[in-house]
Amino acid sequence: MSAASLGTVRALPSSTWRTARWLVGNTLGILAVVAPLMLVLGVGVAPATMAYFGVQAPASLWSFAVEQAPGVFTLVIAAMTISQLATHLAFGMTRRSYAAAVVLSVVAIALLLALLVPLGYVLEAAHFRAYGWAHEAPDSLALALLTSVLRTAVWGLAGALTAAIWYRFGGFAGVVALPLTAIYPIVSAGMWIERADALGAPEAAMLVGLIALLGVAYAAVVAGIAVRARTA
Amino acid sequence: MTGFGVELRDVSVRFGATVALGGVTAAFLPGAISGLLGRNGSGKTTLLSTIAAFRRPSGGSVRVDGEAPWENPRVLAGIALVREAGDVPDVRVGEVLRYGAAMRSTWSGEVAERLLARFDLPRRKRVEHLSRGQRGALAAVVGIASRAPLTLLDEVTLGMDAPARYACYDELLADYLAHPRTVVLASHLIEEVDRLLEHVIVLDRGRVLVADEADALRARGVRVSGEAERVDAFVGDARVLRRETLGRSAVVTLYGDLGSDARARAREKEIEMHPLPLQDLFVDLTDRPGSADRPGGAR
Repeated sequence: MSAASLGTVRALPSSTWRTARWLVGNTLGILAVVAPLMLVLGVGVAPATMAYFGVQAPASLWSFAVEQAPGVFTLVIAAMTISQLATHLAFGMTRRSYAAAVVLSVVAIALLLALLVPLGYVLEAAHFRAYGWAHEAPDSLALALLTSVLRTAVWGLAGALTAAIWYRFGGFAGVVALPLTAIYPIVSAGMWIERADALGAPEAAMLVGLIALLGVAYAAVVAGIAVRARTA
Repeated sequence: MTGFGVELRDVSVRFGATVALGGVTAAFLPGAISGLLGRNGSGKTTLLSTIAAFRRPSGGSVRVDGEAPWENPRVLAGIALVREAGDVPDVRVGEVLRYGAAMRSTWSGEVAERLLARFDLPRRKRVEHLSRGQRGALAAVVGIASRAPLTLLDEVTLGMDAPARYACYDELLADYLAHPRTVVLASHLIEEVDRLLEHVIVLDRGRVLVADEADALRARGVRVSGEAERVDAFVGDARVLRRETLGRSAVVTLYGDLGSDARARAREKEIEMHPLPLQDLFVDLTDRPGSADRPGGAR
């Protein structure tokens, strides 16, 4: 092929990096709506409603929101995994670079989501003080942030892997793989991670290992996916 | 020569018990516009998907620019498979162009913008809200602006209205002439794409029925008409694709080399001889006795 005949040929960063940037950028659009909503509902509306009805709030509502949010994130990642692969291939890139980009994006988005965690606790503490309620936040917000990153990444990759299994092997295999989405609750229960700041170095290392394992498994499944026909 | 060539050797694709491609051996020439023709279910989309590494073949080998395309970054970077539904991100139309610019090193932003205006595509509308014709037009924009060394267009014009389809052909041809590359057009609208094609492959039930230069193919398809006995005598051993009779007259569609003196012999026997449009030839080549949509006429 003569490059000159095709007009301008530009040098681009690696396809993994380009795709990850695109995926994170698109997810940021969703997060720009979801994150403020989470803060307003979890830290603002929920305590205000309880105060209105004279109900004593638990030590922290935000900790509940923080633990549940990755489940929703899992669904977003799972949907993204299915819809974007054909586009990625149609624009001349490999499954390998797609899988790497998805893993990179999940970790990046987990990090961005985790930044909300300390902010939520600080705002919630101020709101609780206004009602004269006792507030309980993790002793170490940094550790809470790390826990959140690892938890969200595990949830997200488990969702991506489940969706990839469903797409590659069909509905039955997808149903069989569904328990994968509960891997974080199972593993954290096994490690007795009950509090957001109770994560020790061995547990953190184990979760990092789990993230790596899920990433490798995801790449292996995506490597053999045959893209299905699409009609208008 | 410019663009990626494609070599297919005994390529088969099976979906369970269904054979979508049953041993396809063919080549798409580098730097040419080729037509991939075939009836519904003939295996066109499966073949293009296999070339673009959307799926692995069940057997045989696919070579694009001399290498297997499966997970081959160099080769895949030079392939653009554009299907009618459009494999584009589900974002606003304007963002699709930004995606193309970000992902394709050969992307022409200038061409994309011009085509967007020509097809009157709403920049701020999300892809999922576009009509079928608009999605086809967007797919055409992506396919042409990608300027990929191997551009595979799978029925992109099917849902577009006539002015948009002709605009698409004109733009494709103009950009191809300015920046030659390999283009494979799979289309049912043979009459419309006929003028673009330099090479034609006809698939039928997962096998190659015909693979030839478009001009050679056009020259082999002939329709002769006249008094039935004379026509039959003229036809001789030539391959008859269709024979229709009306009273004592007969119209016969032939495929093959009739020899250099065919016109003189026809004149001598008072037989009229007409070249066959590619579409008619395709219909006759792929017509199946007993099929529901078989055109009328005795064989």
